[in-house]
Amino acid sequence: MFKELNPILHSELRLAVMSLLLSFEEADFVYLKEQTGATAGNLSVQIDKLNKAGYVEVAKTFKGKIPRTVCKITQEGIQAFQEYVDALKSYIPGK
Amino acid sequence: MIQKNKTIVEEKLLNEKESLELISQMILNAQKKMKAKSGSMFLIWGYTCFLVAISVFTAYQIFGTPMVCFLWWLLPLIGYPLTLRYYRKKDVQAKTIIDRVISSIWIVIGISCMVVPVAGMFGAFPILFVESLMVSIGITLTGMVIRAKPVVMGGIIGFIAAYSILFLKGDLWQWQMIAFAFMVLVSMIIPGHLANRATKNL
Repeated sequence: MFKELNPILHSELRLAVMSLLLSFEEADFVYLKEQTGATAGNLSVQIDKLNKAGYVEVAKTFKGKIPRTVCKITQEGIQAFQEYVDALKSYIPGK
Repeated sequence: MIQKNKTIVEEKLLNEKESLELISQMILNAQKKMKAKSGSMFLIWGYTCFLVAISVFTAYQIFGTPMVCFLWWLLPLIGYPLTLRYYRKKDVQAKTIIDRVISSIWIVIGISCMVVPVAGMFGAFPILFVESLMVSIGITLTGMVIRAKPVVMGGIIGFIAAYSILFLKGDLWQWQMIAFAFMVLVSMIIPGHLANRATKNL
């Protein structure tokens, strides 16, 4: 039986961001932009959606005089990601 | 396979296979980032320890007084500013749990290495042996955490070199410095270069 895929995660950019954040304790906005190849505007909007869903924490800090946005996956985000991967498995034959 | 630099469209819906490919690719990219330039800190401290050990040995050959051992304090005086400079210049874009584990290991070892020579002022004991042993523990643990075989091997050779210091007693004590320099060469400098070379193109 197919499980429902979480619509928040079932989008290319949001899934890419969550997959990256899963591997890090925290990651810079610039790093996420580099890795996903997304534009700053797009990425910002998608991170905001993940933040509103409670999957990602966003902190604005400074490195010297340069502003820095740091993102971190939450426990809720990890749980949602796990459920998403479990749901994906149900679509793959033989799993 | 989704390429690293391919532009990702924000609302594009993926099929199941694409989703799994994307997850794998991003995790793979993150792992590459974790390994990148992991040898730099070994090189900073390796070369500092090597040069200071050789300098103390040379100074002893010239002046013949154990007072030259105060030159060991050049280690923190050179090493810590270089470390701070490295971290200031380094663009830390993402921190992993591995970064935190390694930092914690080296903070504890760094503090212990500073305390040992101070303790040595209150009673004679093989300071270089204890220091080498602690550094070798740090190197081996770091190698195991980052899964870098040259670093683990360097740490193990460091253990052996550390124990060799115990046999250099009496008139041979000055050669402890050369044994220490050898220890940092094989356990820090060579693995540091190998680790950086392995991650050069990441």
